[in-house]
Amino acid sequence: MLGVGFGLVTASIVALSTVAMSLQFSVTRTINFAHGELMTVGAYAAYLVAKSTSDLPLQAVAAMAAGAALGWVLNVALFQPFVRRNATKLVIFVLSVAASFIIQNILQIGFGGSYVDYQAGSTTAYNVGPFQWTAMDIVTMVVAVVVLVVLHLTIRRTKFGKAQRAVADDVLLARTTGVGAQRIIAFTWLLDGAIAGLAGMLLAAQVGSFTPTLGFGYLLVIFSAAIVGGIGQMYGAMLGALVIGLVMEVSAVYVNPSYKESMAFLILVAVLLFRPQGIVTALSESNAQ
Amino acid sequence: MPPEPLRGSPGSNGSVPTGPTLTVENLTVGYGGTPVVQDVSIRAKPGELTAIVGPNGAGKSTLLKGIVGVLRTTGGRVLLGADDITNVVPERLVRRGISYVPQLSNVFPSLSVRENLEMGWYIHHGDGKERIDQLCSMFPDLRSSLRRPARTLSGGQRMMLALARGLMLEPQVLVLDEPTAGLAPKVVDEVWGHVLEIKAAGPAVLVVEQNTRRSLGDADWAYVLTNGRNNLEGPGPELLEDKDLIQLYIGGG
Repeated sequence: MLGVGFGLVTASIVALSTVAMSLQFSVTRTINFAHGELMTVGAYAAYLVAKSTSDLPLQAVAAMAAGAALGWVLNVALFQPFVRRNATKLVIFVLSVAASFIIQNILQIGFGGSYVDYQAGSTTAYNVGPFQWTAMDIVTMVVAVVVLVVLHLTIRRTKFGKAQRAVADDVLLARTTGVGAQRIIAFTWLLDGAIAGLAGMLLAAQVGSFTPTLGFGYLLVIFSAAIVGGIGQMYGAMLGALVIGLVMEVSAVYVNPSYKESMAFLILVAVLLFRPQGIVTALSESNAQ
Repeated sequence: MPPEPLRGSPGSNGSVPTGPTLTVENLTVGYGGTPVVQDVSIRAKPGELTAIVGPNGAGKSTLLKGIVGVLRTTGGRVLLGADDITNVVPERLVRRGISYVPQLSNVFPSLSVRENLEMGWYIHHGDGKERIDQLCSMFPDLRSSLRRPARTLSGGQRMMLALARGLMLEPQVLVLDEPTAGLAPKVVDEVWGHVLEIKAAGPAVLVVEQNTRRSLGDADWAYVLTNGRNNLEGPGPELLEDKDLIQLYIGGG
């Protein structure tokens, strides 16, 4: 049961990051290998602010701002110039790989390659039902749920959200109805970065200390959750994150915890073998028939 | 090349124009490389059905894409009334009152029918509830499926939805690319009936059609395009009587 409790916390962080990436992918059709760095810059921003204040909301704002800024810059300075020249998806993907390593190395220049400590909230554990959580664990889960609900409402109910879904469906058709697709795409990167930055801060708080490879090390877990849920499916991403998070932490109770991430990939392989379209796509297709 | 004035402007059939006329002068459009459409001139008047017909590969759809800003044109002009709208991007063109309904991919599959209609209202504030209600009276099939995702609609319903979305803004010019392609004969009648109904309400309707007999029969003015160039033009029913033309360029139809 303890494993399930930790699993829910991990799942919250994975869900935030995966949903942000899924939304970004479905709207912009760009596979961003530098997604982990959105998390990493969020973590470092929170770490810097934590040096002068222990105010968590302020650290969160800094993390979101740093992630959003990086997301914006990646789109404007890196991806858009190539998209405008009709670069293939593979070229854009390779660019994002390059961006990932460049950002990691810039962070290494600034912060060094060794671990920095980041403590957020108290480490006192509380027993909640069968689970044992710290205050920060609970904050993490509540923040994840709130952000995901707000994101859901934004995407379903607001004009911006509908425009995002319209662009995800068909960019050209969206443009002929008057949607400034470039603006929608730019704001999607901003939103993606903000949420991923926040996830990076929450992840840093969980692990306690981190290096410039924090987000990069988590990238494959996030890809796994996205693929398990059905790539580009936002709600599938939440489910995928839940599955991956639980499997990682529950498995750690029974086998050596250093196999956690291998467990995530085991699930990924199983899903790819039996339901290559992901769980949620499979569900919605059977509904449609 | 300076744009030449239009020769042989379409004859008036007595209808009083209520909106601007769409005028295309010597338009050249392509995908890079040899242009698919060269030097084509057409005119679509308000309250009239203007048809573009011609064999497959004549460049009919390409011409429409050039007109609505989806493809960049490399020569000639597009005018709405007296305004030059050549190469205005689609997201701005819709604000000028031109609605374009493509042949394929003309609905947002994951959006509900209502959301598809709301997208037709995108450039305005609010959700266009009243206008949606009006259009549901015109297309009764849509009212019962407002909450369904558009991907679950039949081909005919999709076309109705695409037409309705294009009409949300009460456009001055409605540009339709093969609205009846791939539909069952009964549904074709229904869709075509709507096209005539729309035209009667006032906008200029510019339509590319594969069903040549029907479109010529109802067209106030029609253009025959071959190999990306103007070939013939005239009142639709008159062109339909030209047996040589029908045989040569259009086939049995």
